[in-house]
Amino acid sequence: MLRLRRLEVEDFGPYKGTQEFRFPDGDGVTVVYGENRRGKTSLLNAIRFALLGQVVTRGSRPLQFHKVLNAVARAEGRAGFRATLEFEFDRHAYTLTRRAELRAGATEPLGHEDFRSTLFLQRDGQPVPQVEAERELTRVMPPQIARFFLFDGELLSEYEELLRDRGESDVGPKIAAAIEQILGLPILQHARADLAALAEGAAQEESRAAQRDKNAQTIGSTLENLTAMHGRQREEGDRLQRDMERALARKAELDEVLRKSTLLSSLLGDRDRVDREIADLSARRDEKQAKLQQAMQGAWRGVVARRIAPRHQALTTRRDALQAQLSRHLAAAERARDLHAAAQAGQCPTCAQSMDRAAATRLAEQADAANVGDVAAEQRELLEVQQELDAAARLAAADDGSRVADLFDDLEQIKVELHTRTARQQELADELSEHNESDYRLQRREYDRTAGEIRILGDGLTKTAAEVQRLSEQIVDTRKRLDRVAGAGLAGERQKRETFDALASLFRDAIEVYRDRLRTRVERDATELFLKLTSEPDDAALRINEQYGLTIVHKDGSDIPVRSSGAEQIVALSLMGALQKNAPLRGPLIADSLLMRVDDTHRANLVRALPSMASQVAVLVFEAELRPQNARDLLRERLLAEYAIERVSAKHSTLVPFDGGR
Amino acid sequence: MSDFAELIATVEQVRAERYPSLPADLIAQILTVEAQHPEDRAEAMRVIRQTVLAALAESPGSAPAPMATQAVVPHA
Repeated sequence: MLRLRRLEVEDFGPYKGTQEFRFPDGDGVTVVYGENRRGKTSLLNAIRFALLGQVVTRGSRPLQFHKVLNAVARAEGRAGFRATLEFEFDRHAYTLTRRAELRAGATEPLGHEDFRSTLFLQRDGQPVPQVEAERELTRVMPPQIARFFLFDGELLSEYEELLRDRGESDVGPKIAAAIEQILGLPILQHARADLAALAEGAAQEESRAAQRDKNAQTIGSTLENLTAMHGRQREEGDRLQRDMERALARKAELDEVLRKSTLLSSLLGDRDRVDREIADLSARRDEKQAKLQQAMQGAWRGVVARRIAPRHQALTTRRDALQAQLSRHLAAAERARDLHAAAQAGQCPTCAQSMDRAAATRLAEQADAANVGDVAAEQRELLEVQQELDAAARLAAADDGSRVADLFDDLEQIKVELHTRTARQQELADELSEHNESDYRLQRREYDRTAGEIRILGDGLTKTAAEVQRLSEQIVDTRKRLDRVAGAGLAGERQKRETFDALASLFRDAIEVYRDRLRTRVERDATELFLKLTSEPDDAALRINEQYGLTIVHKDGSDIPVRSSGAEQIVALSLMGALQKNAPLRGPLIADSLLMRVDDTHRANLVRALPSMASQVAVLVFEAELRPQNARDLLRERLLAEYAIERVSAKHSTLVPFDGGR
Repeated sequence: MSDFAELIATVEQVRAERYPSLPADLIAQILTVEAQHPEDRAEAMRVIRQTVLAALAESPGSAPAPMATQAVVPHA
């Protein structure tokens, strides 16, 4: 049983100087009130730092030590922080001090690597040798299960993920492995693995002994070879499995990081899109500019054409007049020629009767009097006018004024769009400069690479398992043959091998039995807690699955899909409580942001249930999350102490006993 | 409540039902060794080997095989 007694922090986060927090004696709940950014999470982190040497931020990512330093202390010239935790474990009193200090040579703390962390552990007043101290702490609070004792909204989110998970992601196996860790399964798993390895060693010994028996030499040799091959395949399978677990863990980490980088991903997506749009607009701008330039080369023609328009009009009028005049004169000339011909012939051209000389003379006079103009001169002038008109028409045809205007308008529009996109590009660049884009891209690439590695490892594991199975069957057959021919000299080796085999098999079976029992107990205890928490009268129980995911069961026996965020949190908390109850290690429950997403009814139920979740509970809340009067009414005598984190400045908080409202 | 005693009780139940020829105290000893050396598997294996061989030396005639229904094969 781990019980915390006292925490002292120095220049840790917002806690400037030395400040202490005393955990009250007895079983019950301590409430620490603090508004956002005052230092609730830092208090949890101080305990985590002392026990595990870690400080984490959102997404359970490590927080760089230079960001943990109290800013005011740093301004005053101090560049280290400390957490001292006094606790009891297995009837021993411990004082644990962990410091982070600037490394020799580092003058300005700029990153994690500028610090060195030191640990000092005392047990019952006696110093624990350094080499044993970390091991001792691992026994007190194994890092793998610390999350069940020191938890925040992030852990609940992981559990909620588990509830939603339907096998598509790695969350289920990851959480299930962590749960089995806290439930003590690794003791059985280690025993089974160790005994299997010892059984294999014994099998090799037996094979070697058989080779010394002249009746069994050949079979012994075969058996040894098969056993060695089996061992190699099993080792290969173990290696692949370790690689697979490492790859799955890394993928899960990257998945978490990438999911948390949704904003960055979105910004990068926007930036890439804007970059493409800018490239496209630039190409269109260049194209329009080229066309405009070309059009502008003949633009002077358009200007001249507009200037000569009156002249063009006058020429057109003149041409029309000339054409009319010329037509008249040509007709008159033709008529005059006919009259002259008739006068010379002395015959009327209309009725064909002979005419006298006088009439012929009159006709000749009429013909001479006809106005036939100067057709040749008129034709020359018409030709000249027409040539001038043709030239003007060519100029008019070359008038690209409207086309130039269109091109110009298009170009201006493109420039406006380009300007807008460029401004957005700059905005995105500014926003992205606050994030580490190259890290994100590297992580994205690593994620894809890891996913590919997992597929390959999966194939390898399948093939190795098949090979191990094939060799196992051959070994069984070969042993049967050996038993038939071997002498009594092999009895001792056989007994060793069979004993280790039997023990390994026993633990293999025990793992399954224990796992089933754990699930049953976790389901029962989670249900018990859930029924205290839920406000829905039709909820009857929780049902557990292979991965420790829980489903709400309606009183008619049907499953109720968990949809609301509040319901997910209640189910997740029920699982947490059940795990606490079933863990071989008993310890405190220090919870941050526990009540934020539940409604008033569930909040009240949850607060009432807190004392049943662990003997020592501390919740870090802001007052709107849990009203002090509500805490007192709901917890009554189980409320052991109240603290408040008070603001001194934006960078300085202080921890004081809380008596607000009393 | 699930604690170490319950862990032992579970394994003991499996032993009694399926592997009655294996000595009960040997199982408890193996579990104790594993609980004492969670971070040092090599040491755990060394001590377990010694423990099992000592148990066999004490009762060389016993045949700690599983019940007939349990086929013992090399461990995958």
